[in-house]
Amino acid sequence: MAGIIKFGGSRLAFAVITLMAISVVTFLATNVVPADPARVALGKFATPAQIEAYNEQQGLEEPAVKRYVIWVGDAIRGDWGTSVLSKQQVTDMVGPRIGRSLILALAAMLLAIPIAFLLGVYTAQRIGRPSDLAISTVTLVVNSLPEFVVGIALIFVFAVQFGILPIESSGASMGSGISQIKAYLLPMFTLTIVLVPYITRMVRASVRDISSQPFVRSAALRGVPHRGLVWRHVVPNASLPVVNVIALTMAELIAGVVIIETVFSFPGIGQLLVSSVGSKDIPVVQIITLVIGLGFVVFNLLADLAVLALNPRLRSR
Amino acid sequence: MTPALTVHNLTVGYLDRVNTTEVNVVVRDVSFDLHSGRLLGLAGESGSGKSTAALAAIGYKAPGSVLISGRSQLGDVDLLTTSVPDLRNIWGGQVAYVAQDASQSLSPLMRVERLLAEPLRLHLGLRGPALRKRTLALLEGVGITDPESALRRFPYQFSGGQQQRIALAVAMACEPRVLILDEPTTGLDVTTQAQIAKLIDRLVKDSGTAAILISHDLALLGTICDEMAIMYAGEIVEQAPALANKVAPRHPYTAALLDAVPRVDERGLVVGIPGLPATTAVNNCCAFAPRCRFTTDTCRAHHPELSDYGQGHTVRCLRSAELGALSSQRHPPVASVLGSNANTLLEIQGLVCSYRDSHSPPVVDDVDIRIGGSEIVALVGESGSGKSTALRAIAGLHRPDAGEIIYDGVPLAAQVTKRPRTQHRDIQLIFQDPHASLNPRHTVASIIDRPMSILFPERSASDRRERVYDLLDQVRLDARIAARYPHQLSGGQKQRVAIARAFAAEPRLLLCDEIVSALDVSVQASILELIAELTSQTGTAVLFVTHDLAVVRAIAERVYVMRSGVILEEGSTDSVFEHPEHQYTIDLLAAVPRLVVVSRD
Ligand SMILES: Nc1ncnc2c1ncn2[C@@H]1O[C@H](COP(=O)(O)OP(=O)(O)OP(=O)(O)O)[C@@H](O)[C@H]1O
Ligand code: SF4
Ligand SMILES: [Mg+2]
Repeated sequence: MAGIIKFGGSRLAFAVITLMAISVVTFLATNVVPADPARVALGKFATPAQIEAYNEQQGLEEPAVKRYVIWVGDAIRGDWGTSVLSKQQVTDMVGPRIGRSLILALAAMLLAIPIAFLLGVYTAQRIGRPSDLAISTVTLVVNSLPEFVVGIALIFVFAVQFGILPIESSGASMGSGISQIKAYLLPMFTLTIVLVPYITRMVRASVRDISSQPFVRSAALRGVPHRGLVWRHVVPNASLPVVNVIALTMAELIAGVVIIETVFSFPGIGQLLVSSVGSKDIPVVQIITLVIGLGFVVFNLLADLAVLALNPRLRSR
Repeated sequence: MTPALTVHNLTVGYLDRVNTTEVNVVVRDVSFDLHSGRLLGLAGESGSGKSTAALAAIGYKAPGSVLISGRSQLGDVDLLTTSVPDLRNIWGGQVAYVAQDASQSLSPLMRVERLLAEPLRLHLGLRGPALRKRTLALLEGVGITDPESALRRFPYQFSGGQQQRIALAVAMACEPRVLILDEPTTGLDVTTQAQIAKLIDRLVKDSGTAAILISHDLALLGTICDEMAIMYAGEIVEQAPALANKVAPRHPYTAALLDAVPRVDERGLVVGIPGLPATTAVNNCCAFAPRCRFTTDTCRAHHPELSDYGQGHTVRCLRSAELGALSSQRHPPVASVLGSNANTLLEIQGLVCSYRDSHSPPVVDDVDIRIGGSEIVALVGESGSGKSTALRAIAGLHRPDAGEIIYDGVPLAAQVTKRPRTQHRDIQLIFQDPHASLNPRHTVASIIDRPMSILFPERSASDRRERVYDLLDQVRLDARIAARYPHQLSGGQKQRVAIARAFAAEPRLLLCDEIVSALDVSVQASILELIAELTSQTGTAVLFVTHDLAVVRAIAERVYVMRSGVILEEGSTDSVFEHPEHQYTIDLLAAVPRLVVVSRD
C-alpha cells in the first residue's frame, strides 16, 4: 500500500512538473518570444492606438514573470480571458468543445483497443500464414497513411458514395439526437483506423514474445486447452507492455484529433486551435494548449494506473 | 511389476536452422522404464538431449522438433501417437511436468489459488469447497506454512525455494502416474536445494508416482534416485541402479564426468574433459571417441550398442568389458611454487557496505579478510550473503561505508577511477557472465589486447599481438578464435577469453565473482583447472567468490564463510571442511549431497 502511495505520489509530481513545463513553454512561445505580441495578434495594419489598447488589455507592460504568474493563476481559477477576435469569453468558447473532443478521442480508443487486441492475438497465433501476412500488410499500409488521407477516403465512401453519413461534422454541436451521433461517427472511425494498426502490431509482437515463454509451455503441459492458454496465460502478460505503449502514443492521438477535427470541421478544441492559430487569437491558443497538455498528462496517469492494476508486482513495491 | 511408463527406442530431431530440409538427430534410440514410486535420474552435459528426450517421451512436440521413431507406453496408450487434444486430457492429470525454476512453471500474473485450481478443474472437475479444500491440502503437502494466505498471493511473493514447492504442488495436484522434473533444484541455494530434493523424494515415495529427475548434479541424483542414466550426444551411454549413493562407472564418459565434479568431501582438483560435447547424435562411430582417453581405431569405425552387465547395469562402450570398472584420474592439487603466503597482499579491515536506498542493515558488516601473496582464498555464502558486494568494494565498484582495504601496504581509494594505473593492472576482475563483460563488437584479439594497450603503453603493437596469441594458448583456445566475436563462442570459451584478458594485465590479485556457476560441469572443471594452473605459474593471488562449497574445496587454500554480511568462520579449507565449527557451516556442509565413487562393482 505504501508502495502505491509512493508510486502515485511520484507520478503526480511528475504530472505537475510536466504541466508547469507546458505552461511555461506555451507562455514563452505566445507571449515573450515574439518581440511585439500585439503586432502579431493585430496584424500589420493595426494603429498605434489599437496596439496600446491591446497591450494594456493583455497587461503586456508588466514584466514577463509577473504576467506568467497572473496568467497561470487566472487559468487555474477558470478565468480564461476573452477572445481577441470574437470578444467572447474563452471559457464559453472552449468549454463545450472540450467535452466533444474528449468523447471523440475516448470513443475511438475504446473501439480501437479491443479491435487491435483481437487482430493482434489472432495474427500472433498464425505468424507466417496467409491470414497473418494479409492483416500485417494491411496494418502496415494503413499505419503509413496520414490521418487526412484516411479521413478523406472515409468521406468518399460513406458520405459521397453511400450518403449515409454527413460529409462534415459541424452537426456534433448543433444537431440533435441521431444527426448529432452521426456527426461523430466518421471522425471517430478515422481516428480508430489510425490507431488500430499501431496497437495491433504491438499486441502481435508482445503475444508472440510471451507465447514462447517457458511458463506457457508448462501450462500447456498441465492440459490447459489452447483458448485458456491464450487468454489466461498469454494475453494478460502480453498486455502489460502494450498498455505502456498506448500511453506513449497519447501524443500522436492528440495530434490525430487536431488534424481529424480540421478535416471534418468537427467542433472540438483541435479545430478551434487551428483556426485560432490562423487568426492569431493568442488567449484562445494559450488555453487550448494548456488543456491539451492537461489531457496528455491525465491520460498518461490513467495508463500508469492501468499498468498498476494489471501488474501485482508493481503494486506491492 | 509393469512399469508406469515404458519408453522404447525414442529418436527425436530438430529441423536444421539453416537447411530446413535436414533434421539433426539430438535424441537417439533412448529407452527406459519408469516404475511407480521410483526416481530415475538423468544426467549429462548441456545439450546432450535430456530435456528433449523427457518432453518427447510425454508426447510434447517442441516447435521445430521431429519425432523420428519410438514408443512411449502409458498403460495401453502410446503417448507418441496420441493426438494433442487427447494428450491435453493426460497432461496435468496422469502426467505432470516441472520446469527448472518456478518462473518457467508458474504464470506470473496468476495467484497461487488459480494456478492450483486450473488442473483440478480441468482434470478432476472440482469446484467450490471441495476445490478449495484440495488446494489447501496440496500446499500443506509441500510444506507451505499458512496455506490460506499463500493462496491469495502471486508467485513472485515467495522465495525461490517456496516457488518451487508451489510448482511441485501444482504438478502433484491430480496425483499423476508419471512426473517429469527438469532440473528442479538448479539455481537454488544449497540448503534450499537439499530441502527440495527431500521433498521430491518424499512426494514420489508417498504418492507412488513414477518420476524422472533431470539434473547435472550427479551427487544429488546419486542421493535420491533409484536408478541413474547418463546421456551423451542424445544417447543413454550408461544406466545403472544407484546403490546407496555409490557409483561404479564403467563408461569412460561417466568416469570423466565424475572426475569433473568437484566434491566437498574430497580434497583434490577436478579434471576437465577435453574438447566439446557432440551436439548431434552419430551412428557410425562412438560419439565420445574424440574426447575419450581410451579411443582406438575401432571406436572411430563402429557404433557401440548397449551391453548388459546384469542388475540393470547397461553400458554403451565398445571396450567396457575389457576396461572393467574405471578408476579416478583426480590428483591432489599442486601447491603454488611462486611467492610466499606469509606476506600479506590484501588486507581488509572492518569493511561495511550498504545500499543507500534501503533502510535495512548493511549487506557487508564489519568484515575482515586477509589474502597472502599468492594464495587462493574463497569467500563462500548463499545468495544474498553480501559476498559479491564485498568483492565489488575491493574492486572499487562499490563505495564502502566504513573500513579499510589495504593493498600491498597502502590503502586503496574507494573508487576505481581514483586508483593509480599500477593498481588497475595489479587487481583484475572476472565476472559470472562473460557474455555481459565482453564487448560484443570487438574481436577476441582486440578484447585481450585492450587492457594491454592501456596498461602497457610502452609495448609495441607487434609485441602485444604476440602476447595475445600466448595468452590464447595458455587458456587453451585455438589461435583461430582470435578473429571471432563473443557471440560466436560457447559459454566456456567466453569465460576463457575473460580469463585471458584478466591475465593480459599481469595481475597480482585476481577477483573472481562466481565465474564457474553458469558453466557445465566439464567446462567448469577445465576453467578451475586453468585458474589453478595459471596462478601457480604466475604466483597471482585469487579471491574466489562462490556459493558452491564443492568448488571451494576443489580450488581454495583458505576459506571465509559468510552469511548475512558477516564472516562466521575462517580457516584453511581442509580444516573448515573437515572440522567445521560454526553451526551454519555444519548445516551448509550437511546439505551438500555426497557421492561415493567406487572403482570396483
Ligand atoms: N527448439 C530447438 N530447435 C533446435 N534445436 C534445439 C531446440 N531445442 C534444443 N535443441 C538442440 O537439441 C539438443 C538437445 O537439447 P536439450 O535441451 O534437450 O539438452 P539438455 O540435455 O536438456 O541440455 P541442458 O542441460 O542445457 O538443459 C541441443 O543440441 C540443442 O541445441
Ligand atoms: S567406445 Fe571407445 S571411444 Fe567410445 S567410450 Fe568406449 S572406449 Fe571410449
Ligand atoms: Mg534441459
